[in-house]
Amino acid sequence: MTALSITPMFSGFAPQALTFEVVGAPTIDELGRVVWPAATEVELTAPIHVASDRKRLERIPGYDAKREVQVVYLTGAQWQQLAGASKELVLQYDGHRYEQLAVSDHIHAADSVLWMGAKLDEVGS
Amino acid sequence: MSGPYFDRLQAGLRALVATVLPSATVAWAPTTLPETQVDSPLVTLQRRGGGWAPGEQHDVLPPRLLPTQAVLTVTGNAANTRRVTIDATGATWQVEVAGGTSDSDFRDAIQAALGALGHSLRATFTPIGATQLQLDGDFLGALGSKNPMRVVGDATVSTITEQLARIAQGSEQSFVQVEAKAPFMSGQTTDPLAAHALLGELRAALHEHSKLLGTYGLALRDVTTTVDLTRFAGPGWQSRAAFDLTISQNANRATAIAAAQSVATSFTDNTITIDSEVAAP
Repeated sequence: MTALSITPMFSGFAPQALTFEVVGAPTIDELGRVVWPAATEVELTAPIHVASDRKRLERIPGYDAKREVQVVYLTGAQWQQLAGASKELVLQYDGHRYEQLAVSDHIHAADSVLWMGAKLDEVGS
Repeated sequence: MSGPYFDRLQAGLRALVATVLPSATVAWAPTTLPETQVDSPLVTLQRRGGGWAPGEQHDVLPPRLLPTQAVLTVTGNAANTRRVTIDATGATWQVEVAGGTSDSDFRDAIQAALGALGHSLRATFTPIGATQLQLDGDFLGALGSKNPMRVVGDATVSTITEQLARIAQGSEQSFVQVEAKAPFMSGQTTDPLAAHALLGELRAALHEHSKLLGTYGLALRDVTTTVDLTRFAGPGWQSRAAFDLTISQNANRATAIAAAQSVATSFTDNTITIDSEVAAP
């Protein structure tokens, strides 16, 4: 896994579209093996806001201060498009794939924005 | 060659832990299960070593005929409850159907049991008519080696073809680490010995559930003491503990041989010539 800083690419950037690879919750079979459902791709379109928000990130379980992380802000409607994907998400952008760090169901009081953190460790391209 | 049946090891131990600790998530390690997303106690099983060990007596048994193809035939009155117990390759299958179940449904239930994931007879199953199930072993010894297949209850078994074989008897030993991980939940009382409590419950039930292991052809040989592995994980501490199990299962090796065609003796040079026990094609 190659650490890749995407701060210049993402910070303060509002992409027109982001593609999420949506994977549902895994199950365990009779042999005790983890079985992952097949992934599907969902493209979300603007408005999408991506920014560094360390204050919020520190509240995310599993947050590692040594890693650079960004928050992808999604509206409630966008979040609904990822319904059933709350367990595993992979963010794809500009030919790179990024692991999800954590997802929060926190609802922003002002505009019902849901948000998530995307780990910046590149997992493949 | 037969076994080792690692699928039976996986399924049998998973079934044991799931039976004793129904609230736990049970998986074999290494696993891709994301621990941070498991909101229940997690028990992982890992085979940390093992291997084939020769039997205590007579490592190589005298040649014997092993079935390569057999036919099960269901019997009994379909109006009554019917049961069958099948012992083969060290494992056991029990099938029971209610009164009123047709012969073909009873036969199909037997086929489903014998083909169950992690608890299967390594054979190809072919239904014949309404009452019979043909079994073709995937390898020599798949239908029984040291001990023949035994069928008790409302079914019979007959051998169709067989092969002379030499059997090296032994067992497959597996050293399996059982590790419990109990996350400290936000908003809940945290118990630093939560994982110990889980494993204590499991340990106490091991011998009680040895029969369950036996149906998978597994025998519990040893249990080590529980050690603490508590550590900082993710956002907080995670109570962890582990112990090791020694599990054995039959793993007899059957090698096809040909019957001696003739035996000649010479009284002039005091020799005996056997023509010949050779490997079968």
